[in-house]
Amino acid sequence: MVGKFKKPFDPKFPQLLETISCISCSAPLSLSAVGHTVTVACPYCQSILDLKENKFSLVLHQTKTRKVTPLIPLGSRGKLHGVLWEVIGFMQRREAIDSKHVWDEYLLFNPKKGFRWLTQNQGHWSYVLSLHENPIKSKDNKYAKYLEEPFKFFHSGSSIVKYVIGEFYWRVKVGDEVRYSDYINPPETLTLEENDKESIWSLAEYIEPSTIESAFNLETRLPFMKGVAQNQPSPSSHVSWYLWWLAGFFISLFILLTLFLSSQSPSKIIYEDTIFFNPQGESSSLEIVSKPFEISQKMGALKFSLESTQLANAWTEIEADLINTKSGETRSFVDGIEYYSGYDDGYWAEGSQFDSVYLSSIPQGEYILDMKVIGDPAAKGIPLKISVEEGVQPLTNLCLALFLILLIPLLIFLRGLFFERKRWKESSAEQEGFLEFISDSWD
Amino acid sequence: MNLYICPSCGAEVIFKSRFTSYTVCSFCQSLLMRSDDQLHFDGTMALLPSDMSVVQIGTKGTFLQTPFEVIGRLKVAWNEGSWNEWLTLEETGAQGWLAEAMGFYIYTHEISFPKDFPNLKELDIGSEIMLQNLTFKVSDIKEVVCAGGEGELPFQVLEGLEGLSIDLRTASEDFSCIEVFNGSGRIFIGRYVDFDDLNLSNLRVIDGW
Repeated sequence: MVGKFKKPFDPKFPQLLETISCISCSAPLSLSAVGHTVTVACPYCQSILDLKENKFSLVLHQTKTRKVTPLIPLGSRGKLHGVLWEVIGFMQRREAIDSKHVWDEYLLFNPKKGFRWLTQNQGHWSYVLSLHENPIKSKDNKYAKYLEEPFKFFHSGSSIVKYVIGEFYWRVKVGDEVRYSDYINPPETLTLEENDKESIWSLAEYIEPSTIESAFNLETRLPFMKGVAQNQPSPSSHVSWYLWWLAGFFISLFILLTLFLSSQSPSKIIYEDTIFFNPQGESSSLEIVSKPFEISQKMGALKFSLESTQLANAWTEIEADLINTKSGETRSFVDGIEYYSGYDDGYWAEGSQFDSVYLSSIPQGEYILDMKVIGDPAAKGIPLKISVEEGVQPLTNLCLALFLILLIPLLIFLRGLFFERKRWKESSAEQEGFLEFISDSWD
Repeated sequence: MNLYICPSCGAEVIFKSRFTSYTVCSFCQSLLMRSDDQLHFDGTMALLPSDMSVVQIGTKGTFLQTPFEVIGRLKVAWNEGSWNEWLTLEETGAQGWLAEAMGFYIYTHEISFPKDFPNLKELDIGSEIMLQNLTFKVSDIKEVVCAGGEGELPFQVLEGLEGLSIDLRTASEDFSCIEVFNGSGRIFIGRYVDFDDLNLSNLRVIDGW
C-alpha cells in the first residue's frame, strides 16, 4: 500500500457514530445523524446544545421543565412505508393561545431517505414529510393545491416549542414560535409553517396507532384516540362511494327484472263491471256475486280496483271474498274509497275516488268474487267501477326493494355526515368547511 | 483517465475527468493542481468532518437516464448547518453536481448566465427570474463558507473561503442555485430527485444501517 495514511472514508472501516459528552451534565450522547445535526437536547439534563464546526455550545438549560417520556423512545427503529427509520429527536409543541393543547413530534432519520416526522395529537398519529415544492394557495386562502390535489383550509394558529430532547437538523429551542396553517384532504394535511426567516410546507398522512405500535415494537399501548382528527379518513368516505355504486347496480338490476317479468306476463284485465250502490229499503249494504273469471298467469300479482268518479262527500267500501270455484279456497280483502271536498277559505278536497288492492300468490283457476258493498247514504245510487287485473308488478314491491337497497348506504352516509361534523367542529372555518363537505358529497 | 503521482507522498493519483484541475490526495490530504501535465502541491486540506452521507467517491447512479460517477466532493457550511456538493462525471464526459442537504437530493448542471441576468446584488428573497422558460423565485440567500473537499474538483477549493449561496425554486421540483465566491458567480440549474430515482450503487456502508 502506497502512502502513509489510511483512506479517510474506507468503506471497509466505517467509522462509529460519534460519541460526545453533554457539556452541561457530562452524560454520554451519541449522534445518529452526524453531519445533519445542529442541535442536541440532552435527554438526561435537557440542556440544549448548539453544534457548529464540530464544537458544542450551550444554548439553554431546561432545568425547570418537567421531564417528558416519549411514547416511542429515542433510538427506536421501525419500518414505515418500507423504510427503516430511527427516532432521533422528540419535541412537544403547544398551541400559543391554549397552553393545554399539546402535541408530540418525533423526528425520524434514515441515512438514505433523510428525515420524516411522526406527530401524535389526542391519540391520533400522522406521518409527515417536509416538502421542497411550494404548494399554491388560493387568493381567498380557502384552498391550497399540491400535486394538482386541492386541500381545504381547516385551521391556523401559532405553536410554541414546549419541550425538546434529542437531535435536530435545524436550530431549535424551547419557546420557538411558528405560525401555521392547515389545509386538509383526508387522510392528508398540508401544513404551512412560517416565521420571519423561512416558510416550510409539509404533508402529513394519517396513520393508525396500531401501525406505529407494530412498526416500533412498542410494549406499552399508545394513548386512546380522542375525537376526530383533522386528517382522519372518514369511515364512510370510500365505503359509501362503493356502496352507492353497488346500490345503483342493484336498483338497475331490480328495475330490469321487473321490466322483464312484466314483458313475460303482460298485465291483463280479466274482469270488469259497473255496479250501482243501490241497497234496498233501510239496509245500507248490497250483496253482489260476480260472474266467473279465469286467472291464467303464474307471475305477478292480482290487482283489484275500485273507482267512482261520482263519489262526492261520501264513502263506500267493498268487503270481498275471492273464491276458487273448484277448490273453494277463499281470499278475503277489503277495498274502500272516500272523497270529500268543499269551500272554506278556498277549495279543499281530501280522500280519493280511486283505490286498489294487490293480492299475491293466487293460484291459476276459475274464480268468483263475492262482494258486500257498504257505504253511507250519500253514496246511494252512484256507479262503482270495479276491475280485476292479473300479472301486475306492484309498485310497492319496487319501493320496498329500493328502500332496503338504499337503507345501508343512507345509514353510512349519515354516519359520515356526523363524522364530518365532529371533524369540522375543531376548525376555524367550521361552518363553511362542513357545508362544503355536504355539497362535495353530491358532486 | 490520467495517472499521476502525488508530489507530496508518492501515492497514485487518478484524474477521471478531463475538466478537473484540482484533486485532493486521498492518502496525504494534499491539495494538488494539475497544469502542463504536472501536479503541483497547492496546500493541505483538512479531513472533512464526518457525516452520515451514503454517497462517496466512486458511487454510481443515473440522472434522467444518464449514468454518472461521483468523483469529488465539496462541503459547504453556513450558520445553520452544512451540506455536500458531490461532483459527478457523466458518461457523456459532462460534469454534474449532486447536492445533498437536509436529506434532500438535488441534481444540477452548471450553465452560463443568460445575457439579461440581473446584477446579483439586486436579488432579494422573492425576486423572479426566468431560466430555461421556467419562472424561478429566490427562496433563500445565505452566507456560506467552504468547509473542505475531497477527490477531483473543477476549481481551487480553499477551506474557509467565504461566499454567498442563492437558492431559486419553482412551484415544482425545479431548482437553481447561484454560488458566489471571490466576487464571481456560477449558476446551476436542475431539480430535486428522489433517492430511489438516482439508482445509486457502490454506496458507503454505514455501520448499523
